[in-house]
Amino acid sequence: MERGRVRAHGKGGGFLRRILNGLGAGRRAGSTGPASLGSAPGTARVTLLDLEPGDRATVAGLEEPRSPEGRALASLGVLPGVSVEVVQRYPAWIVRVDQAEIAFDDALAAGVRLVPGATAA
Amino acid sequence: MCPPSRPEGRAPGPTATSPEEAAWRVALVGAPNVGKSTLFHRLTGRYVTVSNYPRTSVEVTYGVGRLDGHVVRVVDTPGLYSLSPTTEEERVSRRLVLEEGIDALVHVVEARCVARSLPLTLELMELGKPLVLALNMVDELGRLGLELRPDLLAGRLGLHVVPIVAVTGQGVEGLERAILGAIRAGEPPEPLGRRPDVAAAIEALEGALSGRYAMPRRAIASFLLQGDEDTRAMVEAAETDGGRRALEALRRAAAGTRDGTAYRSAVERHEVARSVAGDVLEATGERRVRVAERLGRWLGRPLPGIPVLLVVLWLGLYEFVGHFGAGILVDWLERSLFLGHVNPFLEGLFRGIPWPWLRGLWVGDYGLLTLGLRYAIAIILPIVATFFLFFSVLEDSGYLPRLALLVDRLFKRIGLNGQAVIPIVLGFACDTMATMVARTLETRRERILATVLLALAIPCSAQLGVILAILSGQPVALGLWVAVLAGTFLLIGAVGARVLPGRSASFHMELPPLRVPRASNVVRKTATRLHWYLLEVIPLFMLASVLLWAGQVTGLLGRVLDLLHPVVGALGLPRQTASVFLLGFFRRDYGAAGLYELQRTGALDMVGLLVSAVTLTLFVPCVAQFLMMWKERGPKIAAGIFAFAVTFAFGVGFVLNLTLRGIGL
Ligand SMILES: Nc1nc2c(ncn2[C@@H]2O[C@H](COP(=O)(O)OP(=O)(O)O)[C@@H](O)[C@H]2O)c(=O)[nH]1
Ligand SMILES: [Mg+2]
Repeated sequence: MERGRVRAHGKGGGFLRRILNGLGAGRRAGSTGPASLGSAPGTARVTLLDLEPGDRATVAGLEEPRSPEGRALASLGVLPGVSVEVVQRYPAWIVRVDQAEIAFDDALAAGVRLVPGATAA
Repeated sequence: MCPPSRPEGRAPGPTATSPEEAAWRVALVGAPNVGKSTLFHRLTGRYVTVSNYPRTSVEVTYGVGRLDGHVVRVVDTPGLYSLSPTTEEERVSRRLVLEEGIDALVHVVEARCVARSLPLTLELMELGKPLVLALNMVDELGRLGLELRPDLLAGRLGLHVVPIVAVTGQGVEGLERAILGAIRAGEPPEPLGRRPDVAAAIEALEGALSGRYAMPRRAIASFLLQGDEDTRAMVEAAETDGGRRALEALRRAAAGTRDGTAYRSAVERHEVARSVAGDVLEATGERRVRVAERLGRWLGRPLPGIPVLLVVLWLGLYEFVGHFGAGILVDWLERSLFLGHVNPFLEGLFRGIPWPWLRGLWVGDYGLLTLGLRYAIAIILPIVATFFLFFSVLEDSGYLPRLALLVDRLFKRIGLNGQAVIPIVLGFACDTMATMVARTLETRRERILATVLLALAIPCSAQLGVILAILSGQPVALGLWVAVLAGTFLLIGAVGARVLPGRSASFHMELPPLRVPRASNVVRKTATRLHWYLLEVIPLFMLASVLLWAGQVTGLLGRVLDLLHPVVGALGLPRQTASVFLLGFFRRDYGAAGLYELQRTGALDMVGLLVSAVTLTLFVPCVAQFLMMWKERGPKIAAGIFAFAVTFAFGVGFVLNLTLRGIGL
């Protein structure tokens, strides 16, 4: 698997979103220096924002573990190795983590880096 | 195991007074909604005290029970996910857990969520205190197609592990025996599953500590390594060199980690937890999706979530609190009980007092008994009680987190997030209480914003009840009143979010499953809130009555009213409304009730009624709320909000009057 896409988003907005994701990932990778856990150089990063309801994936890491968002995610048990399933994205995210459901906003979702190649429902 | 030396205990809550009475102390620990309180009531029975933890609005419950003839004091903690707190509840819980003199900890977890819960167990194992793991809600495992092996888990962790069903009491006896056994043996568990490099760093740090602490130095070292600020302050105070040696050791240990040791440790604990959970929890059957689970999902979506939300609010606020509480109950209590029996009786009783000014203190127009007590018991109590009942049902059913996630986006526009629905909704019961609860919001900016909105745009239940009663026959006026308040809420919130410096926190919370509320829980929660209300707010109301009486006797009231007359004149209102506004400051409900009188006597036309209702609602908070603002947010902010509210309320009233009369209503 070359690019770590979770699945083609199909329909309309998918293409645009992929481009936007690509730009965002490029900028982030440049600013954080050497890539860590789960992303090879030149590979677009996958975050929770790339998933749709029903998708499952494994968490690779948190973008900024020391930020308030990172600390909140850690306290809710969203940490590397944990598998997550998206229940809904709007108006807030609901994610299943090990038999429990947690809700959070886009700012937190953007901070969850995923292991590429997760499965659709 | 007790620490070798115990410095003077200054723990809050009950403490033993003599060696004979010395009771064991047990703390229930665990995430929110795992059944700690349910278990607590099983363990303790009658002697229960609920108190707010000092300088927080977080409730802590203490109780006494018996284990094998031994008196045991149990504390129910508010809930925490890890020992690195991120919220006020977590900070309080952690302090209770770390308190000296706790003889055993009981970690309560939901059986289905062991993988999520074990990381905290691992943290608790480092505290050097006897620990028991209670696996609650094992009754739900079958439905989820899960099978759990407690014995295997006990073996892996080296802990007492007891499966229980707190609601039915199943397994609780076994748990009591395990607690007893753990206290008697006095053996703290052996910490588990640390990476060698972290273990080495902790050991090195431990060697650099020499002060006296209430918990093992190993635990202190582990907290330090996780970057915990409270522990750092503790070390600086306890070490003879001000903690220099320890902090130097800490720097060396923490060097070279990009993510911070707190994160690294958390990741590690989760890895261990997942591996253990994988061995002891097995999916053996099919997972059956309950109706409640489907319903829970639906309620979190805009459709049908938002329409349902509106129906819930309408049924709860308008029908139950408004019609039943403020209508039927108030009518009965006030008309039949007070005006019919109590007041005539009191007036007869005080007729013997020859001095009218003194008699007036008790039974006159502003009498402490005829007005103060009547309002407190016949008007406020039923309204506030029905509201608290409604709120407790929402809380116990698990609906509030869904409400929070539905409004998150809207609340972000006004500088808050979904978490703020709790103080805001509570404001409809009592703005004073809500102003206090706003303390649980994460940033100062959010606390100030919520305080402003509560002061301005959220009518409390006493006010709401009376205003709904006045405007209920007038759909247009009622609609306009709601529209002005909602507009103010959004507008002032949006402007405030732009001008106030600082950042707002992001939204995150765990969603508990929807459950049918349990009557005992609901009654307990309602009673706790009412108790607080009666103790904290009613005395202030009584004080306000005395001040009004003094104002009347000295003539000061008349002079202030003279100052207000031109102002109400500018709003196109008759002179009598001046006293309504003045009363409104002393007590929101007095003001509203005064308005009620004016409407009954026909002194106000439709426009006048609407203008005064709007102005009165926006107008300054009552004395109790003002004092709470002062106490919680400081004098500057309280004074600022006060000045702004007065100006804004009269400004809006003025414009509203001109507009409505201008278009010829
Ligand atoms: N099915 C089931 N529900 C339980 C059990 N114990 C508690 N509950 C429910 O779980 C919810 C949360 O309980 P509570 O004691 O308030 O949790 P706390 O937040 O940890 O104090 C309540 O609705 C309880 O009725 C149990 O053993 N089985
Ligand atoms: Mg509780």
